[in-house]
Amino acid sequence: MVKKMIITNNIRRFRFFADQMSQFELAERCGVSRQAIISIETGKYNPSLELALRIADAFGVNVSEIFEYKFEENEAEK
Amino acid sequence: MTLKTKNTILSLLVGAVILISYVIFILNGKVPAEDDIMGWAQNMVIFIGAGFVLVIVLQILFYVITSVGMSAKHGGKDRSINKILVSELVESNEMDKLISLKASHVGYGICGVGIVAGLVALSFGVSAVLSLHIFAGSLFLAGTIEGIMSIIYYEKGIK
Repeated sequence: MVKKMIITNNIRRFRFFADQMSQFELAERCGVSRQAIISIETGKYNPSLELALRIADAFGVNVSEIFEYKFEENEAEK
Repeated sequence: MTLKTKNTILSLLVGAVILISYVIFILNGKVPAEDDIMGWAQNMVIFIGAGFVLVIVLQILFYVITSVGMSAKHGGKDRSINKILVSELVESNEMDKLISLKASHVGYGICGVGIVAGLVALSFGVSAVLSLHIFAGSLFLAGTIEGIMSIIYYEKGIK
């Protein structure tokens, strides 16, 4: 059985250190709506590969610095 | 609550108003004859048309009121507020398309069940007018459920 993957991100931190970039500014740079950025930041939506790359490009870093993942532990393994 | 959620709620409310108006119209008794399917269909088209017009007018009003409210709250330039509203309400990105796709799956399912139910009713000798109402009702329910599902996806998230 394939384990469930949990994806987290550091977009909010990167926005803060990018001269306190607003969600709207990031959304404009990535070609999406502000709501999409909010949903990604709060973990309600996982972006596509293209959008993840656009977000990383907006901050000038690698995708792996923005997005992190881990696998959910099964009850039997705990 | 997102702007799209509010917009969807507005559309759902209009749908409810149209449905209630239609029920009142039937209860008033000034309806076509029981076997006059053309008359019933014409009345339905009128109500559906009125619903479309009402939705468009209210969405324009919603856009204007939201724009004025945002201007008053943030004191921002009109262009940036307009940009925000266009990107939130008019344009659709990958998340909007995914939510629309998932919500429409549910809607299509309900619509399909309703059409089959109408056909089964017809095959069992139910009047054509009643079957027409089953078809229309399933379309209305499908649209309503689709709207509710998109609200849930926007608020709870979609993965």
